[in-house]
Amino acid sequence: MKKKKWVCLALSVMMVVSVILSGCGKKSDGGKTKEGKEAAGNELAGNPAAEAGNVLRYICTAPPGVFNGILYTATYDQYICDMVFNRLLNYDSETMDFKPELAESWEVDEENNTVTMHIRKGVQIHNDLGELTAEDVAFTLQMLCCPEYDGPRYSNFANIVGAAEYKSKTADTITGITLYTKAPEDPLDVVYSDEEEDPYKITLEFAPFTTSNLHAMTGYILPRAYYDVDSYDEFVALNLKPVGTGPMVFNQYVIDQYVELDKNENYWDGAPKLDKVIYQCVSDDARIATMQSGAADICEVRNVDEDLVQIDEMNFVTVDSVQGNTFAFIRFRMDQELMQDIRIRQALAYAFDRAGFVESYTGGRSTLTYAPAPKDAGAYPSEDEGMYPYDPDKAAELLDEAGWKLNESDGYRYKDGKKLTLNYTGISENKNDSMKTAVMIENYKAVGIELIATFYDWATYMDTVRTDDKTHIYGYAWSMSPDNYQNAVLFQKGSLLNDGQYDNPEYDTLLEEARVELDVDKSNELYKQCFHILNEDVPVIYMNDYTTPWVINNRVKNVIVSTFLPWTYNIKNIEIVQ
Amino acid sequence: MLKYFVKRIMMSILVLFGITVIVFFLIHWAPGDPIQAMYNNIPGMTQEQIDAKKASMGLDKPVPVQYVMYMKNLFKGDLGMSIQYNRPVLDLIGERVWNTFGLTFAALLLSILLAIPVGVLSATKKYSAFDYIVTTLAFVGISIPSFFFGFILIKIFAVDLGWFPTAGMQTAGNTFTGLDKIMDIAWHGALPVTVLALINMASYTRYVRSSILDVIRQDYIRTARAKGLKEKVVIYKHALRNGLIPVVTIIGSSLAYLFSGSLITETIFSWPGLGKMIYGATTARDYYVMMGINIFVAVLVVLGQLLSDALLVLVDPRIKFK
Repeated sequence: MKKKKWVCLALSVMMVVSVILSGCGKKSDGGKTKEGKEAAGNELAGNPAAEAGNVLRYICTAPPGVFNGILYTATYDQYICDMVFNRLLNYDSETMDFKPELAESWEVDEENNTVTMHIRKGVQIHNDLGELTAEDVAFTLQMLCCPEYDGPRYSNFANIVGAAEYKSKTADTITGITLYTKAPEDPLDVVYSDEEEDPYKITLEFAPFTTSNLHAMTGYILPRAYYDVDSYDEFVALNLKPVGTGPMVFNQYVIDQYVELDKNENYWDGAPKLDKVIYQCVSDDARIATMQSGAADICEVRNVDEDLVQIDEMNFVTVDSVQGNTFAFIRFRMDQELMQDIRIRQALAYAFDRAGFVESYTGGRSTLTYAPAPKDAGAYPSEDEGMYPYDPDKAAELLDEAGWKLNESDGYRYKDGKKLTLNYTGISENKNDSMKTAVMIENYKAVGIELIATFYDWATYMDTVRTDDKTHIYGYAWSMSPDNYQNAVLFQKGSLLNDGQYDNPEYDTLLEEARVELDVDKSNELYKQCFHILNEDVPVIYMNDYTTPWVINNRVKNVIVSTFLPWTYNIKNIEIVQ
Repeated sequence: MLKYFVKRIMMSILVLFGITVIVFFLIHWAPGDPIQAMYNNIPGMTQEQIDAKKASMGLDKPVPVQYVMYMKNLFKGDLGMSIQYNRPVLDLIGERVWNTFGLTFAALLLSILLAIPVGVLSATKKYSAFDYIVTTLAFVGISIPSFFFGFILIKIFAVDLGWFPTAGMQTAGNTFTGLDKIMDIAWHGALPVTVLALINMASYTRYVRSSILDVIRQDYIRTARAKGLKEKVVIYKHALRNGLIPVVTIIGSSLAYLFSGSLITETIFSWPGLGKMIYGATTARDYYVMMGINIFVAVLVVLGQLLSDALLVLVDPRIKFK
């Protein structure tokens, strides 16, 4: 008898504990409304971050620590680079047109070959390393073209005259880069012209100059005074201690913990309003809890569905949503015999209820796309381009036409005794991929196509989709660039990104024309035609873009979040209410 | 005895060597390739650039050749360069290993300090209220996943009560020195240490309890009691020492487990340790980082076993290795 009593007691202790734990979750829901969030003037009332001082605290995954304007590959590293370095040109956050940053003005000659840039005067390098001049621009370009450079940005400038020869060590100078000063004692490997003395002027000769080059001019400039070291290894070793001309000065990176940046008092565009920026490394899952505790001011929402519910409970933050630059689509391996039949590709597009999937998967936050470009871009085709609406009958018709006959007994289609079976390869960590295929398998079965889905981790997937002889269809996600060419290149013959092996000479010719066309409207028109060809030819069926919500504590003002620009874009003007 | 340990050490070296072979070939034969994973979705990368990068890292050579090169460097104390971070692996491990060590050592210490008295009490007061509560909680502790437990602690103690921070190892941008710095780290470490310690403690308590129960049924304990010794002396002098023998073995071998087991806890609490790096390196196929950490953990396992053997001799005078 005694035994039983204690068992009961122990069980009730457990129950009490679990009630307490689950009760905690509900404690904070009462009485808070959305309106509270927008209430002006009382940003600090009930705000747990009210006492945090004039420091902006951003939280995100730990950056790999390649804080070098020409070497970084991770977006997390770019955020740091964007605060420490300046770009030659920048984008206007509203129109995405180019606007001057370090290059105060620039001219392109009539033949579209030579660009002359005039560098802003009075730009001071951090740590009192002197003034930035055209020589620093030339130095950055020389580093990009040097034989040892192993970062991803050389191809952006490979069409500078003499760059390829310099890269392959067959020439000692890059003949396409000219500086207008006398050659110093330790000259760069560029041309020094003595026709006129102007340390702020640089000319670049391209063969020919393209829109992609113009977009590449938004890259970061490294000051020679700091980065001109004896060997490439030493250059790389400076990654953890960047020095530039940007609005914030790098202070330190405590590995995997936080990056600390101080304000640049001597910034050419006026000192920033913030005293410090802290980039704190917090795992995806703890982000919202950290915002909730007041220990952070701004973060990107990762687990959108789960997190937005929690964010609703906070009355001291604002959610700012933008169209993210990532979008999802499904690509076809055009080198597979089955996929060479356009009727099968079209049937696959018709038979899958994509709009319905996108609507339910994103909770209405995103819609179907029809081109590899953002919806508000000039090159985005008009909405009537929205081809291949959900139409299983049409799909069945096309498959019949292609000779795939329905076998009534098992519901699948056969041709010459062979079943219509397609293999889908996806990424196991990608939730979109696995949800999507569940619907696809159902939808395709309804028209008699058997879809077999296999998922791999990222690295294996990368190896598999382009080389195995099994994959017919694969899931794909792409971070769009404001430069349309970088998106359209996914389908250009010979491009490494064309893992679907799409081959259409008409497309390639149009794309090349669009690339060298400097007139924005004309080039948009050409890209529209390119995207139209893709829609007719169906080497790809598009899915959704993603909406990226940002949570920002109400004490922070003037943050600009946009599709293509890093959140640090307006860092100089970001203000904290105290 | 000395001879035995020398033999054991020689064996350990052989085992470690075997591990390097197996791990090296396994990770190279696994599909996926680090350069591809890193550069594949960057527009404008050409095959030549990718090949050049591979060649500069020696990845274009046959795997056995790469292995020989790797081992040569390893004997020189060079663990290679990380592909992802572009920095020496030894530096990367060095920056993080002490954070992980601090976390796991604190957790181990705490769990042992709690588990032994609790286990002993629960064994001597078998079927008492205390015993039932401890047993129930121990089962809860063994079965609760650390990420769930971690988030509950964050929710209660960091968000609702605001006593502890939600993430990190120290206050970002702090200028603390000396004792303040230690207190700051302890404050940040409180929650992750609790998670790791309580989960370990749960199983240690069970081991201590059952082992003590075994011992107190033995004849010599009855003899001790018959001699008229006080119960305290019987338990803490005669029973405890023998009861701890199996526990020592378990603690020795869980040393390495603690290092790898802290992966999830580190990730939840954004603790800047090795655990987070292992995961990232595997996803990116960062070969040398994977190798480096594997070798490190293997060394720990082997050392842990050696250590527990040595400890056994200390607590059990009957054991004589030959």
